[in-house]
Amino acid sequence: MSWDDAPSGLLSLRRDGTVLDLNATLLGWLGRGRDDVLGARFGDLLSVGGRIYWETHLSPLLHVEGRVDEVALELKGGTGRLPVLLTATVDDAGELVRAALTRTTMRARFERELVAARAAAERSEAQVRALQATTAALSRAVGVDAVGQALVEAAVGPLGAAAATLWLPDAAQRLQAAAARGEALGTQALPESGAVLQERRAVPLDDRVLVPLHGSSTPQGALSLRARADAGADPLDLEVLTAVGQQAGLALDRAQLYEQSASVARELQHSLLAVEPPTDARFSVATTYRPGVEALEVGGDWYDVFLADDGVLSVVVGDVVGRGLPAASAMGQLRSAVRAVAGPGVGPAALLSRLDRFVEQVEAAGMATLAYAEVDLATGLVRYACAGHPPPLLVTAADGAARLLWEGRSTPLGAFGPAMRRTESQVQLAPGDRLLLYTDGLFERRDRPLDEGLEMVRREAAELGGLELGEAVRGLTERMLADEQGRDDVCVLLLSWAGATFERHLSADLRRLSEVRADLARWLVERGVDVHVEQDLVLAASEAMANAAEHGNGGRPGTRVTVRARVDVRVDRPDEVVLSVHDVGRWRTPTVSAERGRGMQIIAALVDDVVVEAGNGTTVVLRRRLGGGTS
Amino acid sequence: MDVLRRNNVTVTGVPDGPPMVFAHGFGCDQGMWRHVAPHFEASHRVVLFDHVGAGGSDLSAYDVERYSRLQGYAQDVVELVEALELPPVVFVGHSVSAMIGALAAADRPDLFDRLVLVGPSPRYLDDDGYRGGFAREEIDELLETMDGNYLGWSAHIAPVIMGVPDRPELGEELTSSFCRSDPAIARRFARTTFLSDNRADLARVRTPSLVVQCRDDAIAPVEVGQYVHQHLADSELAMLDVTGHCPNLSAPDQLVAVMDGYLRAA
Amino acid sequence: MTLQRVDRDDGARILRASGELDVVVVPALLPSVTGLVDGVSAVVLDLTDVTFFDSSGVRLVDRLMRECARAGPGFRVVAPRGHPARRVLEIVGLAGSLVAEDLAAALEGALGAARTES
Repeated sequence: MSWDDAPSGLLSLRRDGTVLDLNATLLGWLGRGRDDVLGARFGDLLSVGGRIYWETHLSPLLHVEGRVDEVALELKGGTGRLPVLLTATVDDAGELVRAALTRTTMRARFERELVAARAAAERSEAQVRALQATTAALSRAVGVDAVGQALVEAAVGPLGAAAATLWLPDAAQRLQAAAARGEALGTQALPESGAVLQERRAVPLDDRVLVPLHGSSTPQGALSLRARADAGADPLDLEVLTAVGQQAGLALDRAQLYEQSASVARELQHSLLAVEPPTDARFSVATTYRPGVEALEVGGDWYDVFLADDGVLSVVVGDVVGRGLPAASAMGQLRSAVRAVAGPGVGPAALLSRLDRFVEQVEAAGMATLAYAEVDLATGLVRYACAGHPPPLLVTAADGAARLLWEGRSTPLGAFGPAMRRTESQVQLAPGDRLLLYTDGLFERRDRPLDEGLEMVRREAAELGGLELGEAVRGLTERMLADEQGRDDVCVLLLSWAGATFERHLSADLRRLSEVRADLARWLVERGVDVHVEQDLVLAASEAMANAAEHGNGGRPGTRVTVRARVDVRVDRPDEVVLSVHDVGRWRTPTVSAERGRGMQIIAALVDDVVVEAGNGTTVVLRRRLGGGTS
Repeated sequence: MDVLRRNNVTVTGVPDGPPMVFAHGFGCDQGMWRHVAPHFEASHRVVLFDHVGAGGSDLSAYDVERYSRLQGYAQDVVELVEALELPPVVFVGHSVSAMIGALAAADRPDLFDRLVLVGPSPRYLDDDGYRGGFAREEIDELLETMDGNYLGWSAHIAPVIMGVPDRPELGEELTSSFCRSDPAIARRFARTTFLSDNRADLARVRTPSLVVQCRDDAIAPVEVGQYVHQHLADSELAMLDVTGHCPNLSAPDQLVAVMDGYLRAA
Repeated sequence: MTLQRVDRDDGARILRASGELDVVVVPALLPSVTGLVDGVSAVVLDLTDVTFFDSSGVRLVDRLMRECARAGPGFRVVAPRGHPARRVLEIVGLAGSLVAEDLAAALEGALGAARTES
């Protein structure tokens, strides 16, 4: 076979790449004359890419290793590009390069397709990864701000931008720069053209890429990205950005709905829990409410305080199943139902029965638990019932002990069949006793038995029993939640019954003064006040009433003088009688008649403490400790 | 990360001689200097290394962001010179490493005594009023060619049994990875090299430099070498009567002579 | 409340109060106090049967005391130890020589005082 007839292209080169000789086959492929090619550089016979490859890879290889094998290159042929495989060796003297080229059109096409398929697969995989990373970040974000941050972070992260700015619509639907990474917020301007923002794909715009964001029904803004300028950096992938734009639009939709719902629920809960307890000298109530730690949504806990009847105080703490708007709404309805059902002659057991019927109508309130108690303010008798709820706690003033009231228990609302009846129990309060109602968030912990939690409540409540009511309930809540393991809402209500109080009203002429003195004397004696102390107190009260009448006589028609008395029973200090006399005048300071001055002098000698409060009129509050003489 | 291991640094020559650092260009590895470096071993402390992604460098150190700019490679050079605690070096950079060295010297002039820039180009793409030599499509062609040869050129298959006819003493090497590197990294290096524009950085270089230009270099043509020479503050231009882009392999004696002449005249 | 008047041969007048002396009752008595101290040599206010005594009672005592000082008769108040009136008078500082333990002592004091204090 002769050189020229070989089916391969053959050529010889000097080591520097100059063409020395080539066969007819190769000349045919090149479509050039022999004189044209002899003396030319080998690289000039190749495509530009091939030329660079020859100079930077192949020529060095020939120098060092003396051969190259099966290198794919493209010749600049007469009719176009010709894919070939090159094999070349250097002769022993190191001066002559012999090269053979075979055409690989079919093979090259096949290989190109393989390479393209591989590249497409790699690209697709990279796209999917970037998209997944971005979608995951978006789905973790709660609320519009968080979604915006996640989006710009993703833009300079998995999406490979150098910088990004996000615009979101404000309340008036105008787009405002909301977040940025890699460039200062507000330094970029949104494109004027509204048409661009209507697009539903990523749009290259000058040196940036703009991705309009569309929710399911409204435009949600736009994200603008700047590609990295580095020579070796990958360009921004418009397909991925289009997909991200769609995801982000939906994520913003969700975030807005979430925020709206959360704020409605919170407002609802706030309004429901804003309770104005009735005022009566015979009791005080303090409450705390702490939403659960992870609660971005409202919970179903509530409390209420109201008068079921004259002199009958209802207190209730309850817990509706679930969270969010449906729970808050059910809670509101249940609360109203309790108020509506409670009334004269109903009582706790009957109330629960009626609530069972109620929750048949309001499904979301089903399986709610509650603790309900009615306190007769005159006698201190408490009727109570618990529907699946933690037991109320009684703290007795006399000995500072605390005990859980396990009687009167039945199932959660709507949880039993018609055959069972609701039950209630009762307990007698002594003056100063306290009743604690609470929800399970106060003591329930995943890794602690319920009994232990309840025991801790009991112990802490007893320890805090001597504190002022508000301090006691705050202190209890803080101590129980100090371990920071609680996740649930916590609702605590503490009620203190002051015991029956004495109250009388007199007209300004004090016509019934003598009678009132006698009533007061009797009341004090009944409360076990020593007769001497009783006399002192009656005397002091009489003086105070005389003072009040004098000021009331400043001429206002219908002026009344009101005298009240109560015994404050205290645990680690002597009990105290608190007497108050109120008139609707306002005492001009201090110089009163000499007699009244004397009256004050007498009062001061008979009691431990005198306070004159000006408010709606004037109230003089006298305090006298029992169980000892005056200080 | 041990810098010396990362860049496969080899140190030969006179331990307390003036230091000379050789940097290979795009495509191959420190083996490019096999005919040049030995000449200086008698008089200099000779340092050879591989860029990350080439030769025996640690491929796991390759960071896409860092090496998407030539500054990333320049930072590597600074780090290895500091790691070796060298006095100001003579830096010999071929092809893209000429610019890498120039960037390093612009940032850290305290580390460099002289620059020898063999076949430099601050920008390979043509621009308004500037002839770099290539159009963008042609760089894409290069990438295609590299991709086309990836199937056969993977460093993990087909190590070549090496016997170099003209250097029998190297016959010990049974396998070679010369000019074969991780294809993905090589591809990125190609883009970084050919799409960079470092013309503005030439003005920052104060180190005295020698530009070595081959008469017939298709990769870095004569105009480009002249451009570099004109824009360097303190440079000389030496023309070699050589065809091709790699005088360090195709005409090592000429290159050595020119370097000797320059360095002695200092 | 009643105020009983008993005049004696030795010129002493005993005013025996019983019931409650408070702000409702006392003001009505005050206008007649002047008449109560004229023409006698001693006045004794006997509070033994008084069940309630406060600053109004003090006012009465005070008025009687002044009138007696002006008109001449000696003046004493009967308020035994432990009696509420005594307590109040002590608080306001009107006890001391003014207050006597029983009627006899009061009379002696008032009659004696008339002579020495005039």
